Amino acid sequence: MSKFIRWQGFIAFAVIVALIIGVLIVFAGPIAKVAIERFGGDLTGAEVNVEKVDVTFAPFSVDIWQLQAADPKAPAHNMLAFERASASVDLWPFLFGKTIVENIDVSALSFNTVRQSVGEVYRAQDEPNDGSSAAQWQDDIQANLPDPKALLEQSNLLTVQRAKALEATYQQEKDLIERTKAKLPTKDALKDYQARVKALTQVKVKSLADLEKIKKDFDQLKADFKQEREKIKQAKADVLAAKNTLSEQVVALKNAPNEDWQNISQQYQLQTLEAEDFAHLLFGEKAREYYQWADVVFAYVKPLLVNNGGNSGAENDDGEQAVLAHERGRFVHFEEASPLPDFWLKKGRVEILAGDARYQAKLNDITMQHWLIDKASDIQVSADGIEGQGALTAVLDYTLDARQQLVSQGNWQLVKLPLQNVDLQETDNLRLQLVSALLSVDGNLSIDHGKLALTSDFDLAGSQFDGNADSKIANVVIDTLKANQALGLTVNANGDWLSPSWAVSSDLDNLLGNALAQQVETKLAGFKSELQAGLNEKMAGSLSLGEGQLGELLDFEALLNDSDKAFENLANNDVVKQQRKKLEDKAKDKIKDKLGKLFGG
Amino acid sequence: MLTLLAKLFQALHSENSTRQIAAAAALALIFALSPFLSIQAFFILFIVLMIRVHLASFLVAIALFEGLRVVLHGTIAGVGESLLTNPSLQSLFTSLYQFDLFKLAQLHHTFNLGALVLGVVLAIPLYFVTKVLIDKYRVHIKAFFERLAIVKALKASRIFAIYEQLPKLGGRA
Repeated sequence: MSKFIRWQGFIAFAVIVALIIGVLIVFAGPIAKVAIERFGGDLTGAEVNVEKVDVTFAPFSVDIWQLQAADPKAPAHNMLAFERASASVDLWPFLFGKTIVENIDVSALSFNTVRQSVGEVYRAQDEPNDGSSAAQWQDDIQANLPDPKALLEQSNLLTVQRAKALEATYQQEKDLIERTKAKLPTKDALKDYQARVKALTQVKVKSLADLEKIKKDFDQLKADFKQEREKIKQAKADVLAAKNTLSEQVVALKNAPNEDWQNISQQYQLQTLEAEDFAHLLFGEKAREYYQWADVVFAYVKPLLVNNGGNSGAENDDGEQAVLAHERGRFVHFEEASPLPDFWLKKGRVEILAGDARYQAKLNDITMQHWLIDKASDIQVSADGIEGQGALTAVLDYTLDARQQLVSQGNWQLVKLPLQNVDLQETDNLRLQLVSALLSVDGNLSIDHGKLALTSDFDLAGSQFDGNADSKIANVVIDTLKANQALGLTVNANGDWLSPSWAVSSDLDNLLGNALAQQVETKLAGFKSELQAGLNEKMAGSLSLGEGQLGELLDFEALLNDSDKAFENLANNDVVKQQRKKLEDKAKDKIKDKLGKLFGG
Repeated sequence: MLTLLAKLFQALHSENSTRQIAAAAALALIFALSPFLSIQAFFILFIVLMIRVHLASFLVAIALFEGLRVVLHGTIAGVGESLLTNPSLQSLFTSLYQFDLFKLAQLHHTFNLGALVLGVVLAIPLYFVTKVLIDKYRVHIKAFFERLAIVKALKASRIFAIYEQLPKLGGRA
């Protein structure tokens, strides 16, 4: 047996295990301190400092003293800091991979405090898209009233385009008419034709041969008349076409200024200016800061929600988080007779310092696996004397079922929070400050299987605004705010609780809308008349040309009709008939004379 | 470290059982792949100390296989993941999960289970391969190396002096 067994090895093993346990017990605090600083830094992306960590093993508890986590976006400030945090944890489940925290107590938790030294940044944070909404809405308002002169210089105005088109058509038709006129018989030619017809009527017919010659000459003239009438007919068709084209273009040009106005007012949204969401534009910037802060917190919490989702090892998580978990390794828990959640904070108290107020948060049964403890998580926050007289109470409870469907109820009331010197807008073009006001907030939320319905009413009482601006419209905004001491604003959020759609409405919209409508109406009227005067001026020259040309065409058309009628009359002349009758009468007279002499007449 | 290497060479050159050295290498592989503060690591350490395997070989092999653990980290976790989430093994692991020892050993952690299974699976062929290699070394390579000029030079060095003193230090492990 001793050939295979080394009994002194047992002693060596005991010594090694005892040494390791001893080292762990003696150095548990420093090891935990290093671990918190290292993993905290990995999580936040910036330096985390801890003054001291005490670890006790019976019962197992950890005390963390003076933690400071630098803000990676502003390393001279702490993202969060606290004086002391103590947590007592059930050791046995902890060894199985279950973190059951009996109690946690955090004292003097504060955010955005100044650090003693600038923290090291390990990982740069994504910069938020700083497309300042303030700058945007001012740009919008500026853009809403363009310079009329600049507009009139634009070549894409219909008035300009149609005036040019009319001038081109005028020139084109004028050339055509000139060419047509040159081809038509002149007045002298017409007189010549009339004289030739008259001459035929005055020819003395003595014989049938003379009559035949007159007929032949007249037929020749009729053929000439036909040719001339064909020319006149063609000219009349050309004149009619030119007249129609010019008429259409004149009408189009007359309508152009109105159409241009419609296009301009639509392009620059002059008719919907009063419908702008001014409350959102004004307060959105401030609200965005709080939203971004909440977004950062949520970014850290969300992976916890996802990772704590599954209870069975058969459930596979998808996506990047799952890939990371698979690479690093993870606990896979299976069904058991008395299952425990992966994380369960039974009781907690957090004291938060913000300004001169102390917020007290009580946490009960915080977990993401409520179906294992059959209780809802409950968070209560309260504070008195915020900025002297404000008071806050907020209650939130939530449960997640095994399919990770969230059900939650919450409400909050903030009473008479004094606001002083809050900068709402600080840009080159506009400075707006809320000098003083009392803010009251009353809100509630419910989440039913992931569907969020949130309403929060913000009321400002006794508000005093101050500010100045470059543009007249922005000044109207400031004047309206100054004139109204009580202002209300309602925030709504609906839809999927992980990505809700937000809406802000306020009676400020109507107040500002009406004030701006008056201001804008006058300004718009002036703008419109100036623009239309310019458009009419642009139209006038071309229009007179077009209308003059139309008049000329009408005169020309009348002349053509007269000429055509004259040729028609000439062609219908009965010169041959008349001469034949004369010849017949002459023959009859001769016969009568001869018969009279024959019968003694 | 020089002493450790010298001990390893002395074991290779001595009449020590090849099984003791091969077993040390195989156990070192399981130990190296496992997390340091884990039940399985302590269990391997207990076996190594209690059973007559060559300790110097065990320590040198750990140093070599620690690098292997870093390289195979993802693979180890992947093996554990595929086992723990395999539907056909759910009932087995659910039964094991009812024992505190299974949970205390944290074998429901993908890396821990993967390290144990992969370590054991690789340790078996490693044992036989090591055994064969030592036999080959003793027959062929040892004689070849002893003919080299550098080895002759080394024999005149301090390392060789340490090597020579080893029997006095209780070199037979």
